[in-house]
Amino acid sequence: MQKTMMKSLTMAVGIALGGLGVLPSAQAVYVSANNLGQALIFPYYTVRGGWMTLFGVTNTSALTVAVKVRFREAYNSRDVFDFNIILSPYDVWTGWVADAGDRPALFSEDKSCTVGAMSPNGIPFTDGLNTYTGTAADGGPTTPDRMKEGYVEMIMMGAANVVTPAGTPDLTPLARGAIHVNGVPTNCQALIDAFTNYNQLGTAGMAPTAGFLRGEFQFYGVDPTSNRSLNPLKGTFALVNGAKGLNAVGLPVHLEGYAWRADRDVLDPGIFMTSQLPKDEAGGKYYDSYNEPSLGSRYQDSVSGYLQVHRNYNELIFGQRPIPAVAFSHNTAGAVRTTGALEAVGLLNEWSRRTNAAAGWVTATDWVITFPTKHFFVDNDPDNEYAGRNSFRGNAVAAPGLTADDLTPFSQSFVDTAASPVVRRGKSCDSVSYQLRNREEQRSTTSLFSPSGSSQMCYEANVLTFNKGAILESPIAQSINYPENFTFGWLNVRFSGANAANMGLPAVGFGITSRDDGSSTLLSEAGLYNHTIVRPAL
Amino acid sequence: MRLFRFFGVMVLTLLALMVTLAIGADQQPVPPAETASAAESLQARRKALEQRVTAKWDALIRRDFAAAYSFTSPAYRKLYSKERFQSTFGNKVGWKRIEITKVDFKGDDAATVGLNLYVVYNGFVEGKPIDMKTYVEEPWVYAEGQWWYLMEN
Repeated sequence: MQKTMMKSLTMAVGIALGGLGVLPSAQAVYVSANNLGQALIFPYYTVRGGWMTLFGVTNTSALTVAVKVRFREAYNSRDVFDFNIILSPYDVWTGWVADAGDRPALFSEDKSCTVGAMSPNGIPFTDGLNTYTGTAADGGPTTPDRMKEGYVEMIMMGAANVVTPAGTPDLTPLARGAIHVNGVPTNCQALIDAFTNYNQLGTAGMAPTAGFLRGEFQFYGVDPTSNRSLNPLKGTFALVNGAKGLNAVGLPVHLEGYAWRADRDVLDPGIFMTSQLPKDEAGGKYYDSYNEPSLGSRYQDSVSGYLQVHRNYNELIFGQRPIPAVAFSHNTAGAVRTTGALEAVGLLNEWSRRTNAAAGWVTATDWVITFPTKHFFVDNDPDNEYAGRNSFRGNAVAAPGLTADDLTPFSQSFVDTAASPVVRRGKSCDSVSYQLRNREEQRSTTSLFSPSGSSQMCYEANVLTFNKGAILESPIAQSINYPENFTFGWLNVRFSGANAANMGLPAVGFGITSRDDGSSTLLSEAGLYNHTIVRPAL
Repeated sequence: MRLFRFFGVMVLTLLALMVTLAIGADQQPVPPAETASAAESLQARRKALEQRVTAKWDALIRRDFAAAYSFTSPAYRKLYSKERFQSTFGNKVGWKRIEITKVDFKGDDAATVGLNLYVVYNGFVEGKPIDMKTYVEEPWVYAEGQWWYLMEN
């Protein structure tokens, strides 16, 4: 009875707070329940083994929306390719990545305005090599091959309200250039020029001013045409294997309230608009360069991120649950907030592995588990602008280097050049525990991670496979090998690292299963299912 | 005048080269004739392999899976039927053509072939058929006097 009452109270509070798995608050970023958002996380891209990855993003609003697109490689989330899309009202952009030989290339036939050239013949990932080689080396591989898998983030930079007909004076002449006439933007070049000329960026918080990106793209939290929350982006993606003729489609994680204060807007209009220029060409200002916005962008309000909110609600509901009161600095608040929104103590999903062709179907499953904010905790290289923690971003840790508190919720540094001796580990491992079961309640008692032998996740985007199915053909995949005669079932992964004890780890991902049916003509297919996320108890 | 001088230099250079070759003949690890022969042999091997790769893909492009199956290794065909081979392919893309860009021989009886594969995909995301190109590498083995595609199980 008492338990029932407690459950009812919890549910009532939960419903009052939003009724979702992750409680939205007026101050916190949270995972969208209806797949609309301000920031999108596509858990995985790959060009290995004949796979290509397609992306689509739709602007569902009446505003013109600027979006930062960033490809991050799987090992340590270094930025290997980025560009901006300026979506006119109700516009869609599509493109894909495929293997160009030694590295990926981006292809697009879309006519939307982009800052960063597009081509149906492919733009190879060239500059990305600089982010993890030479002085930026992190102990991981240094070949272009490293860029062949990872994940993608698309983050709204700002929105402009382009009124028609134009007022006098026209306050949005740049943004107006993205609007299509006869299927093509009328003046994309003006936007390209503005994004690549630092003098046209303007200052955060400036009044509406024509000709400056921050003067025109002033909106973020609120749609001025409806006075409702502005979460305009909807994404889709597909994995297509050109050699095998398979495909599987999925949805990214959509984050709402990405920069949403209690007053429903960022303090300084235009703050997330940045030049498409390196730091040195953007006035030496990191937060004005192409490195931002990111999933760790700093926010303009005081530190009252998700964890603070989370702690308060825990205390409200459970009273005694210990959540450490960590004081986050201004520059780490963004990463902490996004991390808080994605926290998972565990993941659940199904798997299938049948190898006996004579008995019918042949199946294989791979899981993708991505930690899209991990680098903000484990990649500490103060002088390297591509590191997750660097002095330009303002979140670097000085000598003697990262402490357990700095790494929390993760457990091991990937890079720490403030430590003595310097650490360039090339991996950063977190322990997991797991239960692999078949569909008949039976649990494997002797399964083992291979080849490492220890159940750990060591990268930013991780691939698990089952009894060496390896349909994604990832060289960083770990196989869960089990001796039992299981053909399908489900897996429960729990993040069990010491620093993840209370909150888990910020994780997104999916399982992909392929099936070859020997009993019918030409039937091989694949399906993709997002993981069920087990959130921290509230 | 200049022309005569040029021819003179050429004749002297050729004579010097012939003398050098004659003197150094017993010191060369591989005589020029053998080097040329080795190069020709390599070229012939490459040509034979490329013909097999192209023929396999031509069969797939025609969706003639029985013909494509005949290019898989004898060991694979002992274990797996033509139907099993066919079932490993889906119908979400149409193969259009290939372009071989790399052949790496690994000893006498194995090679990796890199090729650009051109396909048309009836895309969900794009919402229309799109022409796509990707690079794939294939393992091939030499056995019983022929090159065979080393198919994954």
